Amino acid sequence: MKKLPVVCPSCEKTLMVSQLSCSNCDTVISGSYSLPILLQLSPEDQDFIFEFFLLSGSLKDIAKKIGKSYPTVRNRLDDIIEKINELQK
Amino acid sequence: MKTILFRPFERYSEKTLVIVGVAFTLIGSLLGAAFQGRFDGVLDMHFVPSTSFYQVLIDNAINIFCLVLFLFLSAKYINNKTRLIDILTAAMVARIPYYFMVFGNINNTMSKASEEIMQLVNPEMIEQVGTSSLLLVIGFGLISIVFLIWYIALLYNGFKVASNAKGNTPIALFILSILLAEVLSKVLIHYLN
Repeated sequence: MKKLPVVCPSCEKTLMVSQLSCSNCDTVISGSYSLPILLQLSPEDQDFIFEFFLLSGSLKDIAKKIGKSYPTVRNRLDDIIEKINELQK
Repeated sequence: MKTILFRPFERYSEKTLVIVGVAFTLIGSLLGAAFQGRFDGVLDMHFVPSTSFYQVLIDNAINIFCLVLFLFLSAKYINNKTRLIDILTAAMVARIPYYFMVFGNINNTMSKASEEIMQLVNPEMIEQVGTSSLLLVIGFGLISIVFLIWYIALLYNGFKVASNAKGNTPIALFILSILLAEVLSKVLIHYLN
């Protein structure tokens, strides 16, 4: 699966969506749309949130699944929350 | 391997760490009694003429209590979500390397060498001090420094994981906590044990 770039490789600013297309009828929509906040996170952080969601938000279960301790997983979640708060500003 | 030796707190559950911590506190106390080593302060280990399992166990309990008290207060200040159990496991597990230092006194080796070195205070007896005793004490001193660094590295990693510490303030608080724990443990061990 191709990795979605979210940061400009030239100036490191967050990228915008300027074109969307339909793979079925080839309709193309052009414009300027912001990336949703979750997509602005790193793929690793997105995977973590996805796992967390699938395990009904249980930090203990996710710790067991990824083989890390509870405080390590809680710290990871806190760091992601901090990043999201920064992105929301 | 590096994780087990320096960063076990990142991987293992609190249940595993409590079992390992309690087991090694008991083993360390037994070793202390067997080789006459007392842990009479958070950062101390001294060889004495005689001691008992309970005396060494109380030393260790006081040391762990003092470490937990000050590190938990600092960790709570850094991050309110810090759990007591994570600081307790950090204190218990980090002390494991220190317990192995008592092996230096197998057959009273270090006690005898230290006694001989103590004669240095009497200038007339200097010539009687053997080179082997000097080398033994210096070698043990160097090994002790390695074990002390290992102990502090483990303790800091445990503290860091428990409190999600970042930046310089937590390092300063950590150092302050260790120093306060050392002072309190010395006082408590002196009066209670």
